[in-house]
Amino acid sequence: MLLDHYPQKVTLKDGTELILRAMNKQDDRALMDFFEDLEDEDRLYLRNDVSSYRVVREWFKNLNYQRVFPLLAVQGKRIVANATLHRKPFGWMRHVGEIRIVVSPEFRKRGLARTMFAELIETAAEAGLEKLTAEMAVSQKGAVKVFRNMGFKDETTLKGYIKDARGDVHDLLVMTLDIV
Amino acid sequence: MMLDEYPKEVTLRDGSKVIFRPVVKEDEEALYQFFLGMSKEDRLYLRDDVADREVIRGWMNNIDYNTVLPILAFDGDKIVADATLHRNPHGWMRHVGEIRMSVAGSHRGKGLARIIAAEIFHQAVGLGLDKLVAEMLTIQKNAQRVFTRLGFKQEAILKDHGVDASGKKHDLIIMSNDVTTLWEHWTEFTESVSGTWNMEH
Repeated sequence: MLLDHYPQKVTLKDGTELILRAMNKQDDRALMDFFEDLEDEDRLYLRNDVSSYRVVREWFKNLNYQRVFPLLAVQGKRIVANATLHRKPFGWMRHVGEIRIVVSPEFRKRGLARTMFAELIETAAEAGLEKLTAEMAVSQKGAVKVFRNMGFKDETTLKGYIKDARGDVHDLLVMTLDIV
Repeated sequence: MMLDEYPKEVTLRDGSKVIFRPVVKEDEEALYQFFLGMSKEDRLYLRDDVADREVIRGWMNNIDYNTVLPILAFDGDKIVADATLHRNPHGWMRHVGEIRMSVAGSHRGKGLARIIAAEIFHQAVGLGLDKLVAEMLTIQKNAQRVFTRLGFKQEAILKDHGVDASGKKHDLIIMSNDVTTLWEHWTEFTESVSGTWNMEH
């Protein structure tokens, strides 16, 4: 799982230094703080209710890098980005992984998402995965652009699959990237 | 959730009866036997390695009807079908449920898949879900036929999203429909064959 790659120091375009490392059980409080700092517009589209300590605590209870590999970017004690690789080690989708990423507003447009993606793609390839998917609301133009820049292609649009925090319904865009 | 209506006795097309009820922890052995009774080929299309006892035990230790509601069909002590409703009650897909089901070889051709699916529709209506989704490989023609008859429509095909035991790639098909449409479809169907189907508490 490439765990020996971490912790790893990365330097952003503007010279800021961050540490990339796998999430561990002690990160629960810092992760809650990270999600709290997001703007409402971002929280609208998160797939889980991250303001619920119960939801977040469940993740930590069930930490299993074979299924979900969470890579954090930290600055001191503060989490500034969270990228995850989700996979099913068994069954008909065992060659497919899903990538998700959330970056703190002030750390955007500094190349961090791209750096973390590159790490996850390498982790995915190492784990024998052949295809990566990313899911987002069609209306999340920023996210769509980031994934397109990484080489992801539109695969399909699923009508009405997303209900945001306000209750508005959006179409879901599934993007994919072949990594072999 | 409308769970106080279980156990529920259902009469199948051939007159035999099965009992529906949600899974409980003590079902571990029966569920394990149910999965072992499936052909290797059928097991391949499941998401988890159900031939591994630990996988089943893991489920039984983490039963949470809010995220996965498994309705089992029993013939005596034996499980003959398993249908599950998967959802994420908090996130952006809180209005969408996924249905999966397996029917024992001995109980196919009796309309059991259809009637246990209806049980899931019934729960989905009760939970206020808007949409139900089913995923399968394009080569699973029987499953597609069953879901089509239940009122599901093809929504998307994801290229090479499935892989079989030999490593061969297959396309994944996503079928879906609105819960209310599925429920109406089912109600019309039962009316059209009334007398044949008998669901009682």
